[in-house]
Amino acid sequence: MTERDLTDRELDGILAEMRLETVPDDLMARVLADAAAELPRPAPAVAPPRKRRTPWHFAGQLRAQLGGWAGMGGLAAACATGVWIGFAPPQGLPDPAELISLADSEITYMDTQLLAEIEAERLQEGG
Amino acid sequence: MRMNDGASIATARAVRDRSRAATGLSDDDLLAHFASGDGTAAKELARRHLPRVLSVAVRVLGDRAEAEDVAQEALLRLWRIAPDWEPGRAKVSTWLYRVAMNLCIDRKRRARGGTVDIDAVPAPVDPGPTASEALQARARQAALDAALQGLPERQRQAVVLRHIEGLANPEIAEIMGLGVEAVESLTARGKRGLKAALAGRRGELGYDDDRA
Repeated sequence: MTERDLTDRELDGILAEMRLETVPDDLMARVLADAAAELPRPAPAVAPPRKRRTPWHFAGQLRAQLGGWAGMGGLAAACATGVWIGFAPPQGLPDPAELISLADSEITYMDTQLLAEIEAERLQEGG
Repeated sequence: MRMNDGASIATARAVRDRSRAATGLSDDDLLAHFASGDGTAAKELARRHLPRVLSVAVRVLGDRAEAEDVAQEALLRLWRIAPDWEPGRAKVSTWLYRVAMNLCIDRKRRARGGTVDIDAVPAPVDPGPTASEALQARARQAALDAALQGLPERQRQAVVLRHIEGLANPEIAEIMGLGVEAVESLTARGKRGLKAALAGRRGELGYDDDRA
């Protein structure tokens, strides 16, 4: 029976009241949590300052490994002392420079002696 | 420390000002703000669009829990596309409706043959009237929900977008990827289908049969 059917206006009225206006709080929270997780991280406007304790260049790393400026100073002093002892040894220690010249003079002396003997033999044979 | 107090107050003011300013921005601007790391933009976008996306999904799917999942997924895709969003190319609302409709179609295909859970039908928007009127409204919506679920997929989508959400036919055409005439045809057939499904139930729907 047509009089029992809904009119267009009645149907539109029911449809219009089907519209939902509210969102459950937990759904909104989930959506905002997603947004926070997906939020792009902005690129920093200026590069952050380098930390002084972690230098990346080789000299800096070496210096840090050797104990900073204090360690480097100690190392330099030890080197200089070693060099000084090498050139000017304290009394009681042999002078390496003298030992070298002694060895040289001995070899020279032996060579001279050998040459003299050879010369003497030659003179005898010739004599 | 005094300095820190001053800094935190300044930060709080900046957040408040951004929040106030966000309400006056366009959707495109808000997406650009979000893409540059401003989280307050997401709140405003969700406030504007989540209710609409949820409403459509509930009526198209007939299942509240599934609809909430669809709405959440649609918004998630919006957050993800934000850095690549091209302003002026599409309206955010249209884009979201289209994503939500596609997600609904996917779910319907997966759960083919499902029935409407009357208990899952949301309560009426305005529960202001008396208890009996509220019950009547709930029964009316449940009946209409059931009738909607009986419509073919595309007709249901068109009717929901046109008559429940009140969108214009050109926008529905864009959402559904159809021509305007096809949308008009779908909504007309959809309404005829609803009337047929609800035939003889005017009293149940709260309309007086003896109306002149």
